[in-house]
Amino acid sequence: MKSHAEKPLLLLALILSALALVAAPGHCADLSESVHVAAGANGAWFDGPGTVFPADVEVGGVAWASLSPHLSVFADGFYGFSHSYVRWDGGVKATITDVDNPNLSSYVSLKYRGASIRELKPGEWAAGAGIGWKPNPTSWPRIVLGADAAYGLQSNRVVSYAAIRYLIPLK
Amino acid sequence: MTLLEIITRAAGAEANVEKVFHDIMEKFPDTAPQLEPILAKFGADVAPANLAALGAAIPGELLNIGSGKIEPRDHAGDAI
Repeated sequence: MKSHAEKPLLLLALILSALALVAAPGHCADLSESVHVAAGANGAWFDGPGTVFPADVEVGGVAWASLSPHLSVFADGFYGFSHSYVRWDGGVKATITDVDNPNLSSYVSLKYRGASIRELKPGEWAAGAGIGWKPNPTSWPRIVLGADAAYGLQSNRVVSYAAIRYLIPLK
Repeated sequence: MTLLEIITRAAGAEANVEKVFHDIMEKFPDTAPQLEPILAKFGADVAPANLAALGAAIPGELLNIGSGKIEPRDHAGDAI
């Protein structure tokens, strides 16, 4: 049986394996087509049993690899300013809107989430959904607005956030 | 079903995102012309056909990924 400490490492290993698969010669013509990173900020809300503080403002980053028209793997980390914490997620997203629309998409996700402070623990699996939208793909092609909410399967707590991202060019 | 409804149902909570948009527009009325179209986008219907397509596509896509065949797409939601 895996301990709580081993689960994040297992997930990280799975994500790194997926990224390595994408990076392997012959699997993808151009690595930058699959792997992306973005920096940004969140207005985050915490709700549910045992919630200690209701909200915070976070900054951090996201890395992801699109593996198929619907599926991608991702990992992110954010620092909460008011309560001095680091919160992170890693998991899989499945796009549920038109997969050929790069400017507006909605998804469902399954992720493992953790945090540096007791108030946001335990580390646990969470199921969620979210949306992303490029408000002006022509003038601001690297700006994405969005929102996400996920339900912790162990704590029954909900972490939701409204987000702004800047897509960082990798080449 | 709209995107906001999907988030609300998945999270089992009130749609904080929608409330935040309305609160901002109430406190800063000048932002309403910019924020209302965003909220309308978030409230757009998700076509049932897309949900059905997801269920049908996942097994094949998993097989492709497992065999090393990668078909990346660019999705705004992946950055969130």
